[in-house]
Amino acid sequence: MIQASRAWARRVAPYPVRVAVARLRHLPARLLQWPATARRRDPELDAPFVLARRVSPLVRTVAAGAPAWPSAEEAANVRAAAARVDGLVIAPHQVMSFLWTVGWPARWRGFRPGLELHDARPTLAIGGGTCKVSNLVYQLALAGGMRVIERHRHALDLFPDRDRTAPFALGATVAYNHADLRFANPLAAPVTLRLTVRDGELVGELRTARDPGWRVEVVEHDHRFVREPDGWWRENRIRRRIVRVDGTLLCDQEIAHNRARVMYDPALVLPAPTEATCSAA
Amino acid sequence: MLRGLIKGAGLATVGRLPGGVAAYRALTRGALGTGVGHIVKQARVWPGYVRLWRDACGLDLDDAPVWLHEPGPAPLPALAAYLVTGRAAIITGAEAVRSRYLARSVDAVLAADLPGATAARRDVVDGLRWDDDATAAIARLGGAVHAGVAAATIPLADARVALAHSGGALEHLSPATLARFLGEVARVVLPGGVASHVIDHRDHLWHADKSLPFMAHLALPDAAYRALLGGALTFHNRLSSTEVVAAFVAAGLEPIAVRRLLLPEHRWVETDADALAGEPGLARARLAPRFRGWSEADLRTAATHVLCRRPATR
Repeated sequence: MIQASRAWARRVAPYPVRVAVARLRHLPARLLQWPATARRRDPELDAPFVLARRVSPLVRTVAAGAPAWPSAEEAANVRAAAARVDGLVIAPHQVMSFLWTVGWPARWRGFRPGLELHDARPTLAIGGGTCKVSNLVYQLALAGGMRVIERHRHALDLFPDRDRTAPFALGATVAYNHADLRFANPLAAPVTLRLTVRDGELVGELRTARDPGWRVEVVEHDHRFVREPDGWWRENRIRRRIVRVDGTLLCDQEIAHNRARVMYDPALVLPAPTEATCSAA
Repeated sequence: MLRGLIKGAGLATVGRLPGGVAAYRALTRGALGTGVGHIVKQARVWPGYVRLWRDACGLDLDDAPVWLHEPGPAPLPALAAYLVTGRAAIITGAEAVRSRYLARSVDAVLAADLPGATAARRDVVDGLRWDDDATAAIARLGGAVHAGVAAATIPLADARVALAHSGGALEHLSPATLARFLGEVARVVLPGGVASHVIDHRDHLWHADKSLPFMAHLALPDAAYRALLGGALTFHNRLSSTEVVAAFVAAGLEPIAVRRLLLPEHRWVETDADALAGEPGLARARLAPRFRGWSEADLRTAATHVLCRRPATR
């Protein structure tokens, strides 16, 4: 009944109206999350140990002959968002909220129109492209041993994996204010997020004062393309193992079950896709 | 004084509103993180409790099933029980354990000097800091969480646990409910097992405002107390240490030790004579008539830790 009502509202109400309702509905919960959210920024914090490091090219050619993505406008949004995240200190058991840290992507706050997906359709919207930063922060959180509390996966797989090193869907989409990326620092020491743009690359690091004594492995399982009546879908599962340096297993958990509609021809990825399930592993 | 009165007025009002208690807890323990205070306190007191159970009560804690009533929103006591016994505690109470306190509880319990905490058990607890669900984590360690439980009807089988413990919970039960709860304790604890309950006699507004006398609530007659502070967030049964111990005995439990907390030194003593060294909670002249018969020892007892044994045969 509820699902039918939501489907009906989705058909009838225009996208901006639905977004406005969603923002209003999420506002009380977001305000209640504020007290536990990290707000202090200290780029000079003494944190020499790198828990995780990820580098992402700022501009990527998604397919041979296709235009570069993101555009210069979107790259400016990436710079604006990264500047707001850089130096954030997350105290023990505090929560990092991407939305509270980056804030409302308004033009007067330095954000520009960029590509966003509305109703699975590409649209120009202020702040479009900041997902590149949230993707990187999510990967840092996973690899740095943070506890992810809220993460929304992308609903569409837009491009084939050209020059991509991370597993499929290892990212997080954000939408002010109803889709946030939040993670807690489960360690007894503060960690700091460093994000910089240099030489055409977005470089992210999660740092802390000293080695916590464990290592993190993020692995992909069950990656596959599936042909369904409404088209091709792609899915995988992400597991994380945290192992102490002496070999003691501390934690082994499934982090995510990703599933997204494929927006390109899987033949670009798979030499000979069949009607049945194909494994790309 | 003003701070305590404002807090009292706020709690009394909210506690009488429909859904007020749940909303208050969601705001304070859920959003504002006030359960951190519980964690700090529990990490401080648990090593002492364990030594008492082991040394004063002669309890063999290894693999002993433990039941904790109303331990608050933090999972620390359940984890502490795992470190000490090898299995997490069974938790009952009105309130659910909140997962936001899991990693902090892990840090605090690993830092506490708990007897019996082996390296293997510490590793298991250490790994829980990445867990999303505290209730599921407790279940994996052999414990259970029963939330929304009334004190008078505990959903545990007869002779199920070797140790029943609560801290700062029983003073909120009416005398009749307390009697029923202690009957449940006598039923659930194994013959020869131990009941260990800490009852805080202090006016709980004193915890927020130390300028109040710590037994300020004894100044009000029953009718006025019920009218002003009888709501769910403020009710205190105002039983003396002697009355509480009598309730345990009436339930068929045999006292092993009765410890009294004295202020201002926060020192525990075991005899009435020693209790006279404590500061009185309220001048006798200011007590409501019902409390004027309290002994000097009771008037100076801020909290009572009752350690009882269920007789081997009843």
